[in-house]
Amino acid sequence: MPNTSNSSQVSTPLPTREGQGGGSRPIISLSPHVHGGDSVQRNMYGVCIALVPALIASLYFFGLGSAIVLATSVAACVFFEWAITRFILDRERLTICDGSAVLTGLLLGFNLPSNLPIWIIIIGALVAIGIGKMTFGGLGTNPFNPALVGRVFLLISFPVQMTSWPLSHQM
Amino acid sequence: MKTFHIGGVHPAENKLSAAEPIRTAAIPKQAVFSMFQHIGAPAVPVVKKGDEVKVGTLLGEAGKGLSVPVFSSVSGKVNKVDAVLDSSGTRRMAVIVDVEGDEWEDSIDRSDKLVTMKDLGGITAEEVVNRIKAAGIVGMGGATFPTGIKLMPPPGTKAEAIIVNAVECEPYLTADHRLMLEKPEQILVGIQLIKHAVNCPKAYIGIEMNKPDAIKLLTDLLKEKAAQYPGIEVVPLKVKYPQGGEKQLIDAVIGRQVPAPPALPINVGAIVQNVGTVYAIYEAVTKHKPLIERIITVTGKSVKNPSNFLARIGTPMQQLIDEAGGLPEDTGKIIGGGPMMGRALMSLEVPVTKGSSGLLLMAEKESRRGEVSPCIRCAKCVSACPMGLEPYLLASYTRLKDWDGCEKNDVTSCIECGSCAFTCPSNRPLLDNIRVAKQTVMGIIKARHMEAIKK
Ligand code: SF4
Ligand code: SF4
Repeated sequence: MPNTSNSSQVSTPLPTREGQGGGSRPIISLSPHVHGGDSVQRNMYGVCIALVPALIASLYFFGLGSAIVLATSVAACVFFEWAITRFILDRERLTICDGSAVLTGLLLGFNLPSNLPIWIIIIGALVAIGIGKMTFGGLGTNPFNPALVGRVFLLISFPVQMTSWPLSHQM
Repeated sequence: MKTFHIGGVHPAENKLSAAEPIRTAAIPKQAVFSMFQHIGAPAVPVVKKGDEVKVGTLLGEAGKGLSVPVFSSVSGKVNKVDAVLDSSGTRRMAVIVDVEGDEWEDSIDRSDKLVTMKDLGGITAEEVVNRIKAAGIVGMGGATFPTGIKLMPPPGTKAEAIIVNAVECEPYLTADHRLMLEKPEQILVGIQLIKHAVNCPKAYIGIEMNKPDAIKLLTDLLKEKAAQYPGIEVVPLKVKYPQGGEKQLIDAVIGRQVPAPPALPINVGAIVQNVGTVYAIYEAVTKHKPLIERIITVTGKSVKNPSNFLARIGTPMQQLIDEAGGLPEDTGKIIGGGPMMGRALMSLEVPVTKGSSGLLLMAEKESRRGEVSPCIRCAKCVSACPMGLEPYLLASYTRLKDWDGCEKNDVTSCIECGSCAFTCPSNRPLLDNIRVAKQTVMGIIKARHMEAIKK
C-alpha cells in the first residue's frame, strides 16, 4: 500500500539546483502541505488549563490535603508512564511529554478524598496508568478513561478510605 | 454572511501577491505542450517534427469521448513529439516546440477592445458552446474538466443557476483575485455567454470576504450597468476552506445539497465555473482565441517578488521562478497549485499547463510533516470534514484493508480537500490513507459494474 505511512517523504540530491548550494532534491509528499499546528500536547494541556478553576476551588476548600493528593497523583502517574514505557515496553520514544499522564494524574487526584494515605494514591496511579492505559497500548488505545479505572479499583479495594473524608474547613 | 454548512477549516491565508498586478511573462525559448492537461482521454498529436507552428495552431486534436484539443502558445518549429515527464511524475505524450519570433494565427483578434453581447449580434447558444469546445477550454481552477461538456446539461436536467467560483480558498493563490480586479467587465460578458449557452436566467459570483476590493468593484459595476448585465449577482461569502469545492460553493450560494456520486451539480440545477474559465470563455468566443495562456501565481514566503504572471502555456516553471526573483536558498518543496490540494513537483522542468493555478515554493523547515502520534479520538477530523465523513474511521478501515467498511462509510464522497489531515492534532496521514481507499473502492465499484453488464 503506497503512501500510507508517514515516511512518504524523500530527500536525495537534486540535480536541477546546481549553483544554489542546496544539493537536495525537493521533498515529495501528498497534499495537504500545511498543517493547522494543533498537537496532542496542546489538547492535553488545554484540558489541564480548563481544570484550573476546579483546582483552585479544591485548594480553597480542602487546603493542604488536596495539594498533597494532587501532587502525589500527578507525580506517580508520570513516573509510572515513564517507567512502563522505558522498562516494560522497552520503547525508545517516551510519551510523558505529551501531557496525557499529567492529565490522568490530575483527574485521578480530583476523584480522591483529601486525606487518602499516599500509598493508596500511588496504587491508584499504578492501576490507572498500568492497567487503564499502558496494558491496552498507551495513548489513544485505552477503552476506558484511565483515571476512572484507577478510581473504581480503589473504590472496590479500599471502600472505607474512599468513602469517608473530612468536611471542608470552609463549611 | 453565507457559507457552507458542514465542516471546514481556516488555514493561514498568506496571500502575499494580492497587491501585485498581473505581469506578462516572457515567451520561453522552448515550450512543452502535454497532450494530457485535462481530465479524460489525452489529445492526439496532429503535428510532427519539423512542422512550422504559430500561436494558436492546433497541436493535438481532442481524443475520443471526454477530451479537448491542445493549441500552441508560441510560434516556431516542432522539435519533437515524444513522451516527457509531466507534473504528475509520469511520462506522457507531449509536443515540444522551439520558439522563433511571435507570430499569431490570423483568426485571433489580439486587440484589447471589450466585445459585448451586442457586438456579437445574434450568436446562437450552440455556436457559443462550439467555440468553447474548439478552444480547448477546461476548468481552470485546477480540476481541468472539459468546459464544453459541462455546458451541455444531460437530458432531464435544467440549469437554474450559474455559479461563478471566485472564492480562491487555497492559501497563497491570488490569480483569480487579480483577474477580477483587472478584467471585471470581460468576466461579466463571459458570464452572459454562459447564461446564453445553457439558457439560464440567473448567475451568481461567489467571492470570499477576504477580497473586499473585488466584491466592491463587481457590485458597483453591476449597479452602474444593470441594464446591460441583468440577472448577475455578487454573493459575498464568509472565509472558510474548502469553499471553492463545487458542492460546498453550491451549498453556500444557493443552499442546495448535491447528493452523493454519481449525482452531479446539474442534478440540483447548478453549473459552477471558475472565474478564470469564464475569462477564457470570453476570449474564446469574442476573440477566437484558444486557451494558450493563463494567470498563475508564483509565490512563497522566501520568494523575492511573489507575482501573478500571465504566462503562455508550455512555459517551464523554472523561467517563472527566475522572473519572480529566483529559487530561494531554503526551498524544500515545490508545489504546483496551492498548499491544501496542490501537488509536490519533482523538478522545475515541468511546464505551465491549463490547470496550473499557482507555483508555491515552501521553505525546507515548513515542508516536513510533524511526527505521527496515535489517534486520540478527539473527533476534530470529523468536525472538519466538509463532506460529513469520519476520516479517522476511513483511515482505520484502510489500514485494515476493509474496503467494504470504506465503501459503506462513503469514502467515494471524499473530495480530497485535506481538511482532516490539516486539523489532526496527532499529525495522522488521514488523507494519504483515504486516497488509497477511495481509489481501491472506485476500482471495486467499476469492476462490479462491468460484471453486472456482462451478465
Ligand atoms: S479530505 Fe476527504 S475525508 Fe478529509 S476532510 Fe476532505 S472530504 Fe473529508
Ligand atoms: S483528528 Fe486525528 S486524533 Fe483526532 S480523531 Fe481524527 S484522526 Fe484521531
